[in-house]
Amino acid sequence: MDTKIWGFMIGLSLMVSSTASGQVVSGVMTVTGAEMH
Amino acid sequence: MEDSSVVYTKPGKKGSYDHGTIAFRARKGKLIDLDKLHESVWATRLSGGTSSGLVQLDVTAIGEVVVDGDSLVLKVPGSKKTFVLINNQNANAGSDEAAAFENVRAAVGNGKQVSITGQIEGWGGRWPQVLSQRPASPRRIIVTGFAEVKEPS
Repeated sequence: MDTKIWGFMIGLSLMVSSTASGQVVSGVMTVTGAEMH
Repeated sequence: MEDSSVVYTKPGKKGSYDHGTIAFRARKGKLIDLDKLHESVWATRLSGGTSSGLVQLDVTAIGEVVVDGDSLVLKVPGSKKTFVLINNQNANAGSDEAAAFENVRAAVGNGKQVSITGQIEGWGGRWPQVLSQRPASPRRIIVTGFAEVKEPS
């Protein structure tokens, strides 16, 4: 997994707890990434 | 179960590459903005040259099914954005996916809130090409699941 994905996940963590408006209640993102270090 | 969550699951490897899912759920009473989600992926500036990428994005949205022209549309309360609901052309007759889309058709105009699950069309590909794809407006959901939302008693 590319380390940048972890940054994305942190942003996503903030998003699921703080977004007041949006369109979806949940989701699943399927990714492939470079090997995790 | 947690009120909201982001969970990374790594079910297996494809060759020397990780292959996994990031599941997310909004806090009760909140909704996740797909525009911001797209911006977040964009902001990672993930680079190419590898086999890494985004395979697909599946979402669940709650709203009312209406007809708009020739399209079935999900109107989400509190949002100006809508989703065009489309059938999975590869779904076999009698499959759960085919039944889900039939339920979508049956729900048109009944005024009830329904839960639609499906894959966002056109959200996939290798980095960095996938990052330059602008989301369709309105977004299109390939329906894979349907459920009626029970009224609070």
